[in-house]
Amino acid sequence: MNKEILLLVGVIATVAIVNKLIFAYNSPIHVPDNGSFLNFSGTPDHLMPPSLLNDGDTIIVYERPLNLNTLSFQMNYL
Amino acid sequence: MIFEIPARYDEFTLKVTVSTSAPQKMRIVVRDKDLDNTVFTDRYKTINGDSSFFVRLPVTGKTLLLYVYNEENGNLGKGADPTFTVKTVAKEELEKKLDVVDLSNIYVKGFVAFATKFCFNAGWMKSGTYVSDDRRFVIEYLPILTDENGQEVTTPARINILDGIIQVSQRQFIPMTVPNRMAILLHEFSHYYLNDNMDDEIEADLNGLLIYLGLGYPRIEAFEVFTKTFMNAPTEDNMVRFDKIKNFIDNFEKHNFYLYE
Repeated sequence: MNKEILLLVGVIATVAIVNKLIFAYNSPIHVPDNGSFLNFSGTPDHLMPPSLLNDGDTIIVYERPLNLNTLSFQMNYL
Repeated sequence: MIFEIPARYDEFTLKVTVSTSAPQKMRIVVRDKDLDNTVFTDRYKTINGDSSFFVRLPVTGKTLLLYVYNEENGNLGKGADPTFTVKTVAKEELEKKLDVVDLSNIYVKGFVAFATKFCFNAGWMKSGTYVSDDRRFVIEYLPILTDENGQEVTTPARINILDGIIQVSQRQFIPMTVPNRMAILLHEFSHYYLNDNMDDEIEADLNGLLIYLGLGYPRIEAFEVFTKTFMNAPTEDNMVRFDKIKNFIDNFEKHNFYLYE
């Protein structure tokens, strides 16, 4: 009798552990704080400038010229 | 002028030869006929005489639409714009360099498959969490990316150094071309799965580019996405990154690989 109870308890425990593992695997993705991320644009990231695209704004990107015109050189590549 | 091109999910290079009698700023756009916001290239070239556009297409849908027009006059119907003629539109073999892509690496193979699917469909997919078929990779496709104060940041994508989960800005991905998106995701993947130094941006740039170029994606689309991103984050570090990227791409075709220091 005791053996059967022990076996039953063992089975229940095993099912619970497996369920727990599966649940953890499928649980909603934890979104960590921003400090854990590496950004494509480099770290630390910049806030989106609200007035970047306003007419009449002058935006100096780098000390040497690197502006939208730079894109024209792309035609040298396939 | 619009051409409909059956692609049948194949990979190829599209060669479009245009002729003008005076310098004209010609634009070509290649997009998917059926899917919204699914563009493969969008570029211009000032042409005087005969010249060809080569559009590398390592991934396509069922049918492509090719737009060719003089920017000054806009996209008019066939024969309506006398400033240029399209002499030929031809499919050519796509040149790839798969020997430089370690597809025996299960992470590279799995991520390339996942990222290709994601980038191809990102123009119309809903925001949400997407998991690769092999369940190794997770992309959170978020409406925008924000900092800890909830303000939108300029980066189009980022990877969590603790668990490798990639977050992508839907707002920034939608207007991008499919190759633009691929270049970004391969960079993020490289940080976590390929880099010796996970934090190193330049190492991630070059590791990602090696896969991107090897798969046959267009060179100019990689330049475009890096340039635009760096314009939104004009740091000294990004200026150095740009120079190294340019050097790397320039040397790639010559099999003269730039050695990362």
